[in-house]
Amino acid sequence: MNHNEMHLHQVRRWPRWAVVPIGLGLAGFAVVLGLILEPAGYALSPVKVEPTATIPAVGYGRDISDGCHDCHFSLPALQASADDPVHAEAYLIEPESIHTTHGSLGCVACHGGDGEVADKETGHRGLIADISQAHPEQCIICHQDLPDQVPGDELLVPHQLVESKIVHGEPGNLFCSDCHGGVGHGFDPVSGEIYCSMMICVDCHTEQEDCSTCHQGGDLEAQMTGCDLCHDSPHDVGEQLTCPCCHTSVETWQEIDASSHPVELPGRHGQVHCFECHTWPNFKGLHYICTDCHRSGHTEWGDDECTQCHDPGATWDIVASTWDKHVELWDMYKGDHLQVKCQGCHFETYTGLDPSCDTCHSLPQSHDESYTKCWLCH
Amino acid sequence: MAEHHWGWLIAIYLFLGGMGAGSFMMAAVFELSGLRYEHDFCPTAMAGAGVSGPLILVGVLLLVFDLGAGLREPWRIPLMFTNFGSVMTWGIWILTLFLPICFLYGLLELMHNQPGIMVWVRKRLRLLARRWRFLPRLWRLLPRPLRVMPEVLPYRWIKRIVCGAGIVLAVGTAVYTGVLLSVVKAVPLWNTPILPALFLVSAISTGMGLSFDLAATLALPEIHRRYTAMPLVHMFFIGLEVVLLALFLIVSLSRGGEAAESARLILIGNRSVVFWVLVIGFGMVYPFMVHVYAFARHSHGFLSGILSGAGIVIAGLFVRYLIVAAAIPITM
Repeated sequence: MNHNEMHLHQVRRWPRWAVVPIGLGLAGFAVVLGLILEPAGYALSPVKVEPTATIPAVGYGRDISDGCHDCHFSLPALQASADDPVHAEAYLIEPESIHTTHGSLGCVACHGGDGEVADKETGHRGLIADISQAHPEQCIICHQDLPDQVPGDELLVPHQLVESKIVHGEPGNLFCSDCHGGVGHGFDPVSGEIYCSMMICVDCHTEQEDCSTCHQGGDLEAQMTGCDLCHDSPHDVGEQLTCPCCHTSVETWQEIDASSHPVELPGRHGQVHCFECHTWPNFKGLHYICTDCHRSGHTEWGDDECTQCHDPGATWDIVASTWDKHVELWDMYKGDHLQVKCQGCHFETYTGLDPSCDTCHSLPQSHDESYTKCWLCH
Repeated sequence: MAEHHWGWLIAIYLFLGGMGAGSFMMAAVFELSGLRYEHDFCPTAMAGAGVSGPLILVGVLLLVFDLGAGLREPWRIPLMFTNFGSVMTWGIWILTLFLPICFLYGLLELMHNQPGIMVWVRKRLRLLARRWRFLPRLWRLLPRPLRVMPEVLPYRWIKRIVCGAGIVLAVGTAVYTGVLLSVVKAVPLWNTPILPALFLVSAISTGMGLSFDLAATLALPEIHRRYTAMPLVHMFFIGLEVVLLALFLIVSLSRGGEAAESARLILIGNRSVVFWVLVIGFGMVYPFMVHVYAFARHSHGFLSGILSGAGIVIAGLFVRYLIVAAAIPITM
């Protein structure tokens, strides 16, 4: 019996399932061997430089921030411990905010301090008011390659410049919190569910002393005169018109000066949003036929051009005085009849109406039934 | 502030996850191709099916232990299933689906190899039914098709379905371990699509190494005589792994910066002895030579087979460890 056969004979007495624990044991042995061999290999290596085998990470601090919650979730608690109770409300935090993406990191993750003590002084020792100012690199860990144009908003922001300065450790006076300050407390600039007012930008621009923080080179004065410093017009009329020609508000784009419309918008037409008639963003595909928006109340009469009879600046109830064809149809359409609403005569339909006076008027008792043509006297 | 160190725990998780998936693939290929039925007992299929579940389960537990949050606030774990923008959520779903399939396949293979298990189960059930009278009543409440307990299940038919679904998830698991690292932009060494491909090939290689070269060879030393084409398969995957590893390091060197610095740590830095001796020498060159010899002679010695398997497995572990440990984040 050679060596192989002898070994085979021995092994075949094992139960078949034995290969499973053998495999698991060998896998475990390989891991243990690796744990032993790695330090040995390291000891024998020619270079002894320890690599930075560390992923940059924001320390998770939700479970060590309960002490912060005790005061900052409760106005009475804040007022009791505040030096100036009048301003205590400014430090109140909505409890729901700790469930947001940034809030779930925990207070001490961004603000430092000690979130596990009850004492205010000890808890606030080493407090960081604004992590994006004290340690801006902490924001860059997750937020890299941010767009210079906010998608959907046509808003130009110097993200790349700010990021570059942070990465290269260059001084700057523009911080993430300048625009995204409330991000840990419920403000979500990305989802757009809570809008950031433009006044925040305007106030900041006004406060900034060194414009070169954001604007490197170029004719800054010329840029500052236009909205296009920050906003990229989505409309093809942007080259001919400046934003204030139509837009009247720095709070919401939707507020428009209707008088800027090249064609008069009579009546309520001046109150509808631009893109209820035009196609966003370039005003093409204009809806100018009345029935594109309005549904006729008398489909058996008239066509899609309602202005033949109706005044677009008035209500639907009165037929336009300029519609002279109504007289051709009914020569009594004059005098007080002009003040009667359409449905005053057209009870059910706009066709086949009997023009006789007694359709609407009843014969007074002073007249006998032989008087049938009122217009002979009246 | 606390810093997260990714070291051995994560490397072992990636290794066990990959090797578990590779072992499943190996067994499933034997099952689906019919190789498993060429002989009375196929230790490769038994080993591959049996070890995949426990290996992946241990790896997942190591991951949970390393992350920590899952232990402190386990009620948050379900939330990890809902963030579909995250690669981790993809991985969690893949592992959640794959783990039961691994254990099911292991159980089926075990029952197929040990028919006495079903007889034993039936005897035990009868004993229990005599002791607790309510059990037969509960049994009768089951629908009739479920009450059928055949002496011999249609194992081959069931295993084909399990293997067909499982092999897709096994590939997903092996690739995912690489994708998990490759999406980390903060570490340029990892941030490359070569990594998932390298981890997939390494998973297949380590799976073969464990279930065929080690476990099966120990149980049945003549196994290399049965499958004479196996050395060629080994050579292909070892060669492919060498090519991908070389490509990974060359690309990292050419990218410069932290990626190149990480690659230099592996090639000429403080990780170089482990890399050249254990990964390249013992884990790739030696097994490759053994299999070239085996292919030429249609067989190789028992010890050389075991050692080449050990080398492949050790290389799989250290490839992952070196990639994790040599990672240098972008400078801030």
